[in-house]
Amino acid sequence: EIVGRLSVHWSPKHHSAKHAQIFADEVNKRANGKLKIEVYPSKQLFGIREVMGAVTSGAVELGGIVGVVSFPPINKNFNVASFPGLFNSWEQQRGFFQNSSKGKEIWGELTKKTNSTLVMYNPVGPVMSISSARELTGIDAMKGLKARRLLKSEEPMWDALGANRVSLKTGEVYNALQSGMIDTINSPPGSIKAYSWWEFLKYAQKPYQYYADAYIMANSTWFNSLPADLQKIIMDVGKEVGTLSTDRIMDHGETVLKEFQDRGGVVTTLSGAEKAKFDKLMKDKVMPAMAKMIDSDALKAAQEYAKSN
Amino acid sequence: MFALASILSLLALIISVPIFLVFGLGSSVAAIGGLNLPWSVLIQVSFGALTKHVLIAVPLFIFSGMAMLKGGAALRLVKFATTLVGHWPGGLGVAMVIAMGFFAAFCGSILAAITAVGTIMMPKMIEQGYPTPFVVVLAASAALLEALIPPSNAAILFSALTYVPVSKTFAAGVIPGIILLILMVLLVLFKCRHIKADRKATLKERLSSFVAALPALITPIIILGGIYAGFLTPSESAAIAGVYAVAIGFLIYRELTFSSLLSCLKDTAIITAVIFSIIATATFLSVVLTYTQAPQKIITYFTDMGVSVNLFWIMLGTICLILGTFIEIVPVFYLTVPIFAALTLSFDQSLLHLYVVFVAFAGIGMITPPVCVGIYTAAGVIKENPANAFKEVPLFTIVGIIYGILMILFPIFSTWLPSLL
Amino acid sequence: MKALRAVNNFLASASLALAMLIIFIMVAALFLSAATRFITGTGFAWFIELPPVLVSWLVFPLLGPLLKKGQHIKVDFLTPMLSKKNKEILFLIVNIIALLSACVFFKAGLDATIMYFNLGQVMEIEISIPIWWMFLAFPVGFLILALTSLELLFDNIMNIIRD
Ligand code: NA
Ligand code: NA
Repeated sequence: EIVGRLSVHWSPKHHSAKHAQIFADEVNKRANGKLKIEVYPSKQLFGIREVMGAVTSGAVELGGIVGVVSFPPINKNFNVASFPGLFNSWEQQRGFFQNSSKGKEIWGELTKKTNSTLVMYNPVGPVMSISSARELTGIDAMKGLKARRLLKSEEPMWDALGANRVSLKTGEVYNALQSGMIDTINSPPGSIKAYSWWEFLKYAQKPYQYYADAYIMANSTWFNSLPADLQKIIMDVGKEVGTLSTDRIMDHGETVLKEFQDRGGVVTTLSGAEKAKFDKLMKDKVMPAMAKMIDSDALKAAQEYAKSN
Repeated sequence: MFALASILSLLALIISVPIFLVFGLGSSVAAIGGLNLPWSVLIQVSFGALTKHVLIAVPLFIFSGMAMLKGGAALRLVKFATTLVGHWPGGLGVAMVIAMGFFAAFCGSILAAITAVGTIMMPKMIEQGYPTPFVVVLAASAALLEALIPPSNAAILFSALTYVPVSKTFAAGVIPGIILLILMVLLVLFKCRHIKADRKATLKERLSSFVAALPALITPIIILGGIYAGFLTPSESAAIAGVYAVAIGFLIYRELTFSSLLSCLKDTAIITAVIFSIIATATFLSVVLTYTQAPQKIITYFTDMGVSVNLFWIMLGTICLILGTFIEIVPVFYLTVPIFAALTLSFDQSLLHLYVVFVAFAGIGMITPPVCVGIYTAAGVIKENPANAFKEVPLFTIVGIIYGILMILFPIFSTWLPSLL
Repeated sequence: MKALRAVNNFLASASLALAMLIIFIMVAALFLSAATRFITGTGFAWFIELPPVLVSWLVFPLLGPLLKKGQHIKVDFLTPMLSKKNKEILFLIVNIIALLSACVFFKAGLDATIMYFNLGQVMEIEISIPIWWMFLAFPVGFLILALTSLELLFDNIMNIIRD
C-alpha cells in the first residue's frame, strides 16, 4: 500500500479542510487498498507558509496550498490573483493561469520550481473586509482601523484607506481581536466562523475584493512515480471534489454571512456614491502601488484576459 | 528502527551526550531510516518551530532579567523585602522568597532569578545561622516561582507548543504562583522559627527602601499592562522590559556599565542558544511523533484502558517527576507536552490546568539530583559543593508534591483568572 | 591540529559576537516596533518580522563553541563515578557521537538550504530576504560543530595516550 500524506493548515471545521478530507476518502475508496491518503489537518505537520516547501522537498506527498500566501514569494506575478477587482470569478482566475500564454508561463515557473503538480482546486473563499470597530459604510469609516496584515499585497489598500496595519499570524488573530490590538481583517467569510473570529467581528463589507484560491498540490516526483491507474484516480477525484468545493464555496460564504447576521452582525454592501469613492481610491492609489508588485506585462495580460473572458 | 533509535538515544543520554544531540540523533535515525523522509524535513520543521514569533520573547525576557540583575534592581528588591519581613522569625528566608517573587514578575530566566536574589541573600542568611543546605535548596526552589509568575519563559514555551495565547498562560500562573509563594513562606516560618531575626525596620527605612525599589517594582505593570491592554505583543513587552531595565540601570541606579551591558548580551546569547538548540532538535522528535501518529495511538490506548481523569493527572504528575529527576525542564517540555496536550483535550480538561500541573511536577525536577540546575546554580553562587545540599531535597520535594496535588485537585486556580480576560 | 584550533577559536569568537549583536537587534527592533506603532499609529511590519528571521543565526553557529565549553545541557550521571582514564574514554565516545551527528545534520541542513535556494522563495516581509539565507545557518552551525568535535576528539586521544 502506497501512502500519501496530505498536510493542511486548516482546522477540520474549515471548508477547505473538509473538502481535502472528502478528496482523501474518495481516493482511498477507489484505490481499493492500493493507495492511502492520510490528511494531517490543523498544521500538525506544516503551517500555511511552510507547506509549499514541504511538498517540494517531499516531506509530505501532498499539501493544501493557499495561492496568495505561497506563490508570490516565489513569483511575484502571482499577485495578480489578489489584485482587487481584477478577476470576477474563480473560473476566470484559473482560466488565466491555465489558458493564457502569460498565465501559463507564471504557473509553469511556479510548478517547476516547487516540483509540484496541481491535483485539486480547493478555494478558501471570496475576500472581504470585516471589522469589530464600526460599520464599514465607506472609505471614511475605514480610516484609523487597526487592520491585520497577512500578505504583502494587502499593504497598499490599508495604507490608502489610512488604516494601521499589524502583522500577525493566523494563530495570533483571535487573541489580537480579543485584546483590541487589531479590529479589522481581510478574510473569506468561512474563516471568521472556522476560527471563531466572529466572536469579535461584527461588521462586514461587500463587494468581495478578490477570490482567494487554494490548491491541493502533489510532489511531482512522487506523483509521477505512481502507476498510471492511481494517477488517474487522483486526478479524477481531484477534478470532481474540486468542482464540488468550488460550487459550494460561494454558498458556504453566504450561509456563514447569514449566520453572522443572525448573531447580530451587519453586512454593508457599498453602492452608489460610496462605491464610486471606493473604486476611485482603488484606481488612484491602491492599484498603482500594487502594480509595482507585479511586472507590467503580467498585469496587462491578466487585465486583458479578464476583459475578454 | 524505532526501537533502535530509542535504545541509541537512551544510551547516549546516560553517557552524558548533550541532550540536543540525543534528540537529534535518535529522531533522525527514525525519520530518515524508519520513515524514509527526506533529510531536509528535519531542518524545515525545526526552522518552522524556531521562527515562531512568540518564542522571541524567551531571549528578551532573559535579557531583561540579566539587565535587572546587573543594573542594581535586584539589590533594591531584596532590601525592600528585607525591611518588610526581616524582623519575623525566619525573616530573611521569607524575604528571599518574597524577593524571588518580585523578581519573577519581570524576569523570564530561572538562572537569573537564582543568581540575582541568591547572590545577595544567601551569604547574609548563612551568616545569620541558617543551615547552608537549607539556604541552597530554598534559593533553588524559589526559582519555581519564576516559572509560574508571569512573565515566564515556561509559559511561552508552553504556548508555542499548544497555541494557547501567551496572555492566557501568563494569567494561569498568577494564582498558583502566589499559592506556592505562601507555601514556601510557611515552610520557612516553620523550619527557621528558632533563628534570630533582624530588628524591625523603621517606617522611614521601609519607605526609603520602597522608593528605591519602586522603579523596579513597576516593571510588571509595564509588561503585563501592555499585553492585557492590547498595546503590545508578548515579545514587544519583553523588549520594552529589557530597554527599561537598561534605562533604570544606567540612569537611576547607575550601576550598569557598558561592559556589564555587553556581558548581559553575552549571557543571554549563550542561555538562548542552549535552550533553542534543544527546541530545534526536540522538534525533530515531534516530526517522528506526528508522522507515526503516536499521540493519537496513545490516546486510543488510554481510552481503551478506561483511564479516569484523576488517574490521568496522577500518571502525568508521576511521569513529570521521574523525567524531571533525570532531564532538564526544557527537554521535558518538548518531549511530553505535545502528547499531554492531546490527552488533556481528549479528557476534556483545560490546557491551562495542564500547564500549571505540568510546571509544578516537572519543576520539582530542578531540585532533584542528579540533574538539578536549580541547586547547581544556587550552590555555585556561594561556591558550595552541591552534594552537601542534597539532604534538604526530600523536604522540599514533599512540599512540591503536596503543591502539585493541590493544583491537580483545584483546576480553578489555573483557569479562573484567564477566564476573566 | 594547531591550525584547526586557531580556526575554531576564531569561529567561536565570531559566533558569539554575532549572537550578541542579534540579541541587541532583537531588543531594539521589537522596542522600535512598539514605539513606532504607539507614536505613528501604524507600525513597521519588518521590526516585528526581523527577529524571528535572525534566530537560526543566533543559535546554530554557537553549538560548537558551547560544546567545547561544556555548556550544553546534559545528564551528568556517570561522570562523577568514573576514574580519570575512563572519563576520558567516555568523553571520546561523546565527541565521536557529536561528530557523527554534526555530519548528519550538516547534510540535512545543506539539503534544505539548496532546496530553498532553488525554490527562490523570499521572506514575506518588507525587505525581501531570500529564505535560504536563514537556512544557511544550519549547515554553517553544524560544520562548526563538526570542526569543534574533531578538535576535542584529538585532545581526547592525546590525553588517553599520555595517561
Ligand atoms: Na517570571
Ligand atoms: Na532533577
